[in-house]
Amino acid sequence: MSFIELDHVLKRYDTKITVNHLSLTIEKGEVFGLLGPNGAGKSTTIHMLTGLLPYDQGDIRIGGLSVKKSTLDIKRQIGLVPQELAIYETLTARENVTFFGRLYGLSGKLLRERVDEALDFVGLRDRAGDKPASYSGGMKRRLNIACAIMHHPELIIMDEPTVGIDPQSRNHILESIKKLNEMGSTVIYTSHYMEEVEAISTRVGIMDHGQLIACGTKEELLDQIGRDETLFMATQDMKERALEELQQHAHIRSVQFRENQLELLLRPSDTVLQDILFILSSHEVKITSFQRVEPNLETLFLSLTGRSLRD
Amino acid sequence: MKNIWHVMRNELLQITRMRSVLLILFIMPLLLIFVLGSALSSQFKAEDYVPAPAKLAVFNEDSGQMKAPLQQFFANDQVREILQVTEVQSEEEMNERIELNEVDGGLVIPASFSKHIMSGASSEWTYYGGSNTSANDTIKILLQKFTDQATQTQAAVMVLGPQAAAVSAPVDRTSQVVQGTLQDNLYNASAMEYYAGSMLIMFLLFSGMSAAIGLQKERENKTLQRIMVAPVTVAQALLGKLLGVAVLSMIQCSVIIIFTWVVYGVNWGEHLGAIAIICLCTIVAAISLAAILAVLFKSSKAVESVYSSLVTIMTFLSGGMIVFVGDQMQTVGQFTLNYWAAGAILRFMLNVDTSTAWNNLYVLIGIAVALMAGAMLISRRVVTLHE
Repeated sequence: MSFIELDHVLKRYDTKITVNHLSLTIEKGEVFGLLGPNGAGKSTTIHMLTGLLPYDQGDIRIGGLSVKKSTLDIKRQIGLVPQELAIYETLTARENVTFFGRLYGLSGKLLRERVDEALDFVGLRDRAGDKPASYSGGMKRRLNIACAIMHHPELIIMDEPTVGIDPQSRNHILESIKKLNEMGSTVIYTSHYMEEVEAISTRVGIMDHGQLIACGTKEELLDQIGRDETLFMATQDMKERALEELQQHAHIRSVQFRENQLELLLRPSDTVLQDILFILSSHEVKITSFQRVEPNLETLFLSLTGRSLRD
Repeated sequence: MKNIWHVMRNELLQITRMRSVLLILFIMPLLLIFVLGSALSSQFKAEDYVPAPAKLAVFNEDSGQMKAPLQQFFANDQVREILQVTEVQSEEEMNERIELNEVDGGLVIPASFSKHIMSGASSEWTYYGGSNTSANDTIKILLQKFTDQATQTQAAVMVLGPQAAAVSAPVDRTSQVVQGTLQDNLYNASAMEYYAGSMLIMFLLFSGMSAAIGLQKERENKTLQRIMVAPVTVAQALLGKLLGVAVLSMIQCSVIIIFTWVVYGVNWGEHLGAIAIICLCTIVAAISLAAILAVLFKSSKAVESVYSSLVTIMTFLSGGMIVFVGDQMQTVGQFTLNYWAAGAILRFMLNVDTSTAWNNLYVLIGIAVALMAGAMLISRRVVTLHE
């Protein structure tokens, strides 16, 4: 039995179906990345998982318990890091974490220890007595996380926790997620930043229009679109003969040349890059820059839906 | 139960961190009671506002039958509270006193005054007014009362003959200066007492607004969502938040009562238990109304403007700001919460008409229960997520 099971879950608002017969399983200890553009149904799915929203059909079970029937028991196992900052600006960081800790039944010495631990974990122990108003956007995001983890939840759900923050805080948050996972928590991470999900997830689900359109490890998903890479080159003094030779190469699927920009679609090969450089140098074509783009989830999403993740 | 306590404590902690809110809750009512109580005290019982008596110089050349009744009229105790009369020896002396502002006006009574009256002929006296218009008005009204009686005497003489004067002259004219009582016993309260009662109710209702705004802000800031993710039921979260406001309102209530009693000398009477119940019902009604408005309106600004308008209008219609709002307004005022709450409080304070006070309290309890039931019915929607 999987740790999390969504079985043909359906959610509708009036006549609009936002989650459409979603079935999904997540194993204990996974970092599951949930990808999808805005309005795909990610947040609705998360709100149903946490018991915030009732679902109309199907069932969700966490640790064998139905969310519908054992809401409070399941809530004790979950820590939610919401998309928006859900912290009290009038309270200090410590008071914020302490309040939410109390709601999970923590008290006394244990509560103090867990609050210190959570603040330490997100790197805010030194600023624990300050109010969030004096924090940077990244620090507020970290406090947002601390409020969700102080009770050592078995399942941590992070709903786009890195929206609108600096790269340093983003890295800190991503590292934190890895650590939490190493400490035993199962993590569900939603984002429309494909690179983040790729970097930390053991498995990825892609949602669109309330449905799961692809699910698996990164490798499994990329196998669906093949392993072709794209090479972009900025050149000078391009010769017709060089382009002909590139087109004739067995591992180059297509050659496009426009305004000194060369775009090559390459089949997987260990030697193709060397061959390209040899052809161009033998015709005295100068290369001013180049970029090699590996197949990624963005490409997959594009091929599955015909639109970009951030559309 | 513990969760209700935690949410309530958090609510109190947050409110106490907001100095502007504390200012509105505790300083504003005391300030308003003082300002309204001082500025509008003339509308209340006499001991609050005693106008200075008007001063009249009288040059009386008449020694006839009307002289004695006029002297009796001026000597009457109640007239003397309003009018101080000085006899002068000449018209020049009278004019001089008026010019020096020693008196507010002067009266010249000609020597033939009584004779003409008793013979049924036309007679007149002359009043010289000073610069103080309100004193002039007071004097003219009092003199008019006396001339009315003189006219009655003259009419009797004309019809029945000179012997009728003896019958009609000795009249108890004290009735002419009896002050009218205000239409309702409530207004026998002093201005401070009246406004202490009505402002207490108004600010207790306003404290409900902080509950409504607090709920909306929790929803907007997503902290309510975070509370709901924790093992807390909707009822616990809502009750905790509203109880936080209720506790603060009770503290506010105690501060207003104790402060106005010690500093402004407001006598809250012997029915403090009943007053406490009125306050409690008002708080319950206010926070229930807050919960309902939090569902009906989607932003804290909308809730704030609707709630504050509602409380202000209700307070005005019930006479909480201006005592006499007119009969029609007063009828409409009966549909406000303030009417029943403030009416009950003032009656208990003054210890008058307590049976009506209890009836008011029962109506108030009914309103509070109805609003609470409404709030409970829609409580689920308070924490509904809007995608």
